[in-house]
Amino acid sequence: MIAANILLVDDDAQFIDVMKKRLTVRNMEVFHAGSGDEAMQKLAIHGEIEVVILDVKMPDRSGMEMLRVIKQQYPLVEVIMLTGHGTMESAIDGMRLGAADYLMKPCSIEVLVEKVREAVDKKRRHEEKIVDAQVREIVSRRL
Amino acid sequence: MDNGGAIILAVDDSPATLEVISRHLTRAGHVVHTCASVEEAASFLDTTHVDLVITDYKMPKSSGLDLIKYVRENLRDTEIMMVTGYPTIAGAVEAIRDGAGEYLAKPFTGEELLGVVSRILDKQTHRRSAHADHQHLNEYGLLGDCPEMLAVYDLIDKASQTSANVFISGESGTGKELVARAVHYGSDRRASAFVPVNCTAIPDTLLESELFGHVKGAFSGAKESRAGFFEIANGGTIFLDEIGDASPNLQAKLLRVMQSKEFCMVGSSRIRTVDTRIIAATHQDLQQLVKQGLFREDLFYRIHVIEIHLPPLAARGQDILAMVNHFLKKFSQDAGRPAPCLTDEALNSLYQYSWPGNVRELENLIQRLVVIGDGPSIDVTDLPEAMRFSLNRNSFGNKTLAEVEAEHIRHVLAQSRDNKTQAAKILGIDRKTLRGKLKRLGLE
Repeated sequence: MIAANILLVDDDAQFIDVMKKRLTVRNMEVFHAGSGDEAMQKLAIHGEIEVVILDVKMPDRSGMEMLRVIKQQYPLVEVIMLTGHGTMESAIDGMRLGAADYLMKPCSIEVLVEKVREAVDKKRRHEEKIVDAQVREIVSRRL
Repeated sequence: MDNGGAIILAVDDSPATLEVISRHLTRAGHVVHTCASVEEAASFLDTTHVDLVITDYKMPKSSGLDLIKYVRENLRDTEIMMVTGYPTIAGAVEAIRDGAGEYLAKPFTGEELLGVVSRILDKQTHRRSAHADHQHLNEYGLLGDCPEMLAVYDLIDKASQTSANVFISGESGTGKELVARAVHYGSDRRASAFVPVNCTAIPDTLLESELFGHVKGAFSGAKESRAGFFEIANGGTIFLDEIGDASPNLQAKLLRVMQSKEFCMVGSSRIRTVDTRIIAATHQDLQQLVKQGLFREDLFYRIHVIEIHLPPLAARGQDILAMVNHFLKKFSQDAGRPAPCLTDEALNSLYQYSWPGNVRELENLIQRLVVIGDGPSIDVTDLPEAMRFSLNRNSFGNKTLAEVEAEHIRHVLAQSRDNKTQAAKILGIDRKTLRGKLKRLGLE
């Protein structure tokens, strides 16, 4: 079973290449996008994506704008911000906008994988809660 | 937004910091209490209502993070923010992930403190009034406050703030057009037209002319130029109802105009540009139609940006009562007579009924009862036969939650003819979660 379905968004093709290989060998399905627009297309096509790993600086859109749009259109998809230019302000903004985490490059693959797993768990727990609420509703209606 | 007069608890082991926070916030009109430790703060919060907690990070014994967790677990309506003399990105990330609304580094100016406090209290005010905000949706005929409808209202509000295409799913009669209208009139497109188009009602021969209009003399009978739906909806919203029934020809034409935002009127070669938001709806499983090759995948992804799913009426619990009362009042006013009331037995029958026609069926029923009824009350004997003798759904006895869940999933799967995509949609979960449940409950 796939451990996580990830969309890797970064304009650095070499970085994507390396990360994709590392995440794939850890049993993760990795989609990738080199721009914000491409990322939105991938999200629209691949409904199975659970976690987006998002570079804060993108050529066509800022990472914060991307984060806002993703959380608006796909509220259950978790977003991990990954940046080589982190600041306290952008970390706070990112977390306030609903990012699951905010990591600084270089980031060890072990840390990234752990954060991805936490994000996937969070998403699945969230979905479970929705289902449980619905079941409770069904049960209460029948009692 | 005015948020003066909030009750604030400041928690810090430094008396000097507490004094600075108290002075600035008291001057701004807030009521400020202080505590020197997390333990003292937790006891205080057990007995006193507080709007906002401001906590230091490093304190003896327990840290500010412990207080954040305590507040989040026990006081859902209370906001919390952290101030720290040791600011780090990791610390800020952890504090906000644990539930802090803001993170402020020491030393801070009075202006910075007031700015952050104001922002967090604004957010709280907004959240508290969110439920009241949904009341405006009543004017579009959207009623009820069951959890599923509250989620729908949130999505309507979110969709109204964007221009993204919206896809509305749900059984016939659940109110898909009402949702589309609420999205349009809640958006900044409200000054322009909302144009509903029933995709099943346009014959293929008239398709192009209906959608894009025609110029005078374009074909025999075209005595005048006429604007099409897309031009009428320019700057506004076009609502494509029953998109699942759109013919291949219509699908192709829609895709082209969605991609380019351009079209030509029939009989003219001049390219016209439109800015039209598209809201589409269907009672069918569009994803299944895509798989069967009956609906274009590229069009599906174009319209499927924000999905709003409307629950069937039978799954909306007490909302039935709210709607019965609403329709009784509405149709009695129309008829110029006092609203009759429903007996408990009649209401019980309505709760038990399966409502295959959803809200529309309920609305028609109440209208009929008001028009033909002449007494002050409506009893079970006044209801149609199918409702009087509807099956009692209270058949779960002393079953465990897991058993009820398994039974319901089995029932939905049977209804969907083992179509997992459709079953997952009815259950409101994704396919993967459904697969996990089937495995866990031994239903595979």
